Amino acid sequence: MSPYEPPVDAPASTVVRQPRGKLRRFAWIGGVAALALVLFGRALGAGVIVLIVALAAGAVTLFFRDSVAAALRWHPPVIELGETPQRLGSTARIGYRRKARRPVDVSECNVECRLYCEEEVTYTRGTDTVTDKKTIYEERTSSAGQGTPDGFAADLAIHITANAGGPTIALAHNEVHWYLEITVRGARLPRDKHSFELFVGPVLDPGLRARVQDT
Amino acid sequence: MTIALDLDHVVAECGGHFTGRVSRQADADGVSSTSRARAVRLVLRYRTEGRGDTDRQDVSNLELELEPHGGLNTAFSLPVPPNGPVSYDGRMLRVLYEIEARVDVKLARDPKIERPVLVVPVGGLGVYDRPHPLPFDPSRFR
Repeated sequence: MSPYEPPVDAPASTVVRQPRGKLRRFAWIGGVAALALVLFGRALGAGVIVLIVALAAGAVTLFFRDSVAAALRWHPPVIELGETPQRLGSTARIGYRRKARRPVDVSECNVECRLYCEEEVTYTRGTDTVTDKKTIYEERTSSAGQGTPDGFAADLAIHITANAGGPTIALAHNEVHWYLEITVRGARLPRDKHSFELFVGPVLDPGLRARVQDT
Repeated sequence: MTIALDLDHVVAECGGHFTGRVSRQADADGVSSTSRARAVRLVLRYRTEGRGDTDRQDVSNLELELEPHGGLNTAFSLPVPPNGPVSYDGRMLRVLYEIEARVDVKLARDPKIERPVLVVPVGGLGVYDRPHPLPFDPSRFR
């Protein structure tokens, strides 16, 4: 039996993922709206166009206000993993770090973490390509964070269950992914939400194997 | 003329091997050297089932030359990819593995035989009980 080696092209677990699909969806809506304005703008008149653009800009700002405010004051967060890929049945220690763009006194903070496993399938319906997602496992944990000289940090412990979901599967039309969604609560702290993808390898944690055999 | 596929085990870990024997009776009296059967191709493949479009891929294969009389009885070993995917039975998708033995017959339909197998994570033999329910008892093969 050859020892397990993680794939060379395994996604780096420390890369920040933007909230999935939200920006792309807004880009689509914005593109269609701009096209409609170009096509039908002459019939509306300059005043109406300015009003529509202002309303759209206001709506977008309102929707992304937390993200925009956080981006102005904070650097994107980073998670540090003890090992990658993750193993089924293991408890992973994760370090969450976020730096401020200017000094902030963080006295109290709580980092909330949602670990979930999601199936994603893509299929063709007529001429459309449809993507369906279903969350098949979810676990929430929280941990107290601490202020650091340049921001704040928290240590999290998450359990990758071996009894639901499965290892990461990334086929062309059928996928299984694990995500870590992190939000922070506290005064003067960013109120945005970030998702990180965890690569769970097809390997069982030796500790789980020993526990199962003991029983 | 029939082909037989005997597997030593039907569950293997990622990075492991499926081993067994494949055999085929010789044509006619076993003396003729004009058999139209040329080779046996063994393939380990996965395919998906479920709501999504089907993904299918041959992950390893072997080609075994037949004797001039068309007979064969030999051991084989098919490697399992170390990075999966593992066999999976989820809500919207399944990943199913099978081993297929197909006889390459000149100018005729190729007879074949298939056996479902399971691929489990590294360290999962006898422990990992997914996908549910396992159609086999993995502990028999530890």
